Amino acid sequence: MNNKELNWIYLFISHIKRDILINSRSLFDIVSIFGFMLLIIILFPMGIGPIQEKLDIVSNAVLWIGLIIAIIPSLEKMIQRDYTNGWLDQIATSPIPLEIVLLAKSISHWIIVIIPLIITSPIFAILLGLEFNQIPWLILSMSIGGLSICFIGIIGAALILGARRGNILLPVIILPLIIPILIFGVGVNEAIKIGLSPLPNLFLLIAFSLIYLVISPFISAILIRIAISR
Amino acid sequence: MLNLKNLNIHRGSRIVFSRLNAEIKTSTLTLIKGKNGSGKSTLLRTIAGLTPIEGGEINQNGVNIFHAKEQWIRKLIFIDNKNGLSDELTVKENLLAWVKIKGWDTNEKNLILALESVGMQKYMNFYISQCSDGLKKRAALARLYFSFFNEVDFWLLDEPTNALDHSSYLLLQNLLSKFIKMKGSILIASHDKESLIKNYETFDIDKLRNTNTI
Amino acid sequence: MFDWLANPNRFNRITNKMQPVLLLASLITIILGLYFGLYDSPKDYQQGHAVRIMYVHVPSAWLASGLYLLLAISSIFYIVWKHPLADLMSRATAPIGALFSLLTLVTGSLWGKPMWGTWWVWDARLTSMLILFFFYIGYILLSNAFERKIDGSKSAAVLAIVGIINLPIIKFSVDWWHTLHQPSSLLKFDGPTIDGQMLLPLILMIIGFCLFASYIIILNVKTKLIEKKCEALILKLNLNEISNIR
Repeated sequence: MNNKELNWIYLFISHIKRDILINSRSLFDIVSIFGFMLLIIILFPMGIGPIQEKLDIVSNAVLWIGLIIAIIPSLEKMIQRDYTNGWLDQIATSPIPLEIVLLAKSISHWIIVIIPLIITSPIFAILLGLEFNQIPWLILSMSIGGLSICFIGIIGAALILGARRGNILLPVIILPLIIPILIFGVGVNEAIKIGLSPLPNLFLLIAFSLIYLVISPFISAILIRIAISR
Repeated sequence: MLNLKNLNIHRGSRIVFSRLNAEIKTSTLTLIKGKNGSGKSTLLRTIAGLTPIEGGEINQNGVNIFHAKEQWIRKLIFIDNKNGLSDELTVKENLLAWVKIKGWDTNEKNLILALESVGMQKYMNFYISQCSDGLKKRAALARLYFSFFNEVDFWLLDEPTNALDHSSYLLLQNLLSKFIKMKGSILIASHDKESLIKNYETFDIDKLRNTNTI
Repeated sequence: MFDWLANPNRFNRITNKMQPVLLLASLITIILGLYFGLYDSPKDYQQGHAVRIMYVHVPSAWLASGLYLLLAISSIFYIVWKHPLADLMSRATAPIGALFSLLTLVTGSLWGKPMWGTWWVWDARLTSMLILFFFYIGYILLSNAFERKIDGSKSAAVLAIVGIINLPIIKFSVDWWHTLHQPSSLLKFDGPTIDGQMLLPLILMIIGFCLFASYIIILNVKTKLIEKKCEALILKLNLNEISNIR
């Protein structure tokens, strides 16, 4: 490859591959995230009671809240490891832009953590008694919503770099930012349930993700540069 | 020659250097000496562009090195005691990932040669989590070998001899003298009194502090 | 303007003159506002005397949102120009903003009891205010979560900037959520159209609250300036002691 003309797309993809490789070596983490989400979803019927009519009212919200809460503890790791082992210093002393690496990190987190949850989401949907025609929309909306959670999550992970008790702080900071995803995401499935078009909510969800797709690499890069300079 | 002009460097709210004026010799090995906390590492991190300058400038041949920061960064290798190795990857995978972000050619032969240069070919499929501190340091130092077939002018090494045994110390000496022969510049921050190679310059921060009132 | 004010000595000199004026003016307007609000204004034909909570509720809601804007602006100043006074400004503003949003929530809940018969209703405005409150809490927690203060300042400033980008989206999404789940709300929080006699105390209270908030924030900034000086002094003393021992 020519030294002067770096191929950013190639670098981007190779960094995604690296992050996926790292995460695939700790598959246990991914299995435990799945278990966590399953447990959250099981807890709701335990609390509400086995009556299907009651579950129908909350099922979409439960699925989304389960997804969000299960993902949040994993977000910190997106940056934390590479910050402590000095990899981010190496990134900063190499020609690859930090923004590209951070975008690669959020996308690889989406691939390795969120996609498995989404593939298994029909199981959760069946447990809560969702109609069959809702499942494709659930998968679609959760994929998009999950991606924007990763974009916001990397900002959150960068915010708490070096903080005391960062793992407790992260949800407090992230959850208010995530509220629109919950509203639009649940909205998609609620609309399907009552026979309306899911598209308005879906478009809003996509628009929200696009906003964060644009701003998240830049904001988290600012934060990483501050953290590296310490 | 690196000219440090009126350099102000802060780390957090602590002022590490204020109005530092000094020269660092290049195209040779310069040992940056100083007590713990004297700012050796901070100086290296500043030259590597990691810690921002609050005031002043660093010039090489009259040109501010950070005016074309990307060009500058391409030509240097920075290794400190954090190494930048991922526990979950093997020694070889780590090196490969590093060469990729540098944008260099990643052929198998060069990787093996680089690992051999620090005596790591036996351990190349070890996970970093299985490696001792000395092996980790050597895995990080293997990167230096890539300067022999890519455009690299500067090595910034923070305590490179930490945790190295005698035989790897000799291997490092080898690499250093080979790079000096190629007119490369090496800056090493160390409280190690022993010189790594025969001819070297020193840059004593403690002395500067006494004379310069920085 | 900010640069000019950013000199701590000048800041002290100017604010020393401003403070008594601000305090006096805010007290007068608030007392007048309360007089008109609680005594010399008609009660609402639907809500009765409960409507008088509005004279505290509405101004605090305005201030809670306004102060977040101030917090974000001073955070931008801090991130871009790195001036320490901008950081003190944000740090001084955040708790005041949090208090005003809490006051909004409490008065809203008190107002809700006679209106809806419950202490809390998931009204769109109240919900947005609750989320704003969490933003303030997040800012305060993050700014104090680091070993070194300056790290916390930088991180929290970025959070405030992310917040100001996100808040309009959240506001929109909450409104969207509210209309989605409750197509026709019976009573809006504004109440019926406001009578002229109600408008006077409302405006007086808003002005009074603004003056009072600026007084408190300036006081807070000055306290933090003194704190900072003390810290620097203690650090110096400690260093001297260490060198004496040597």
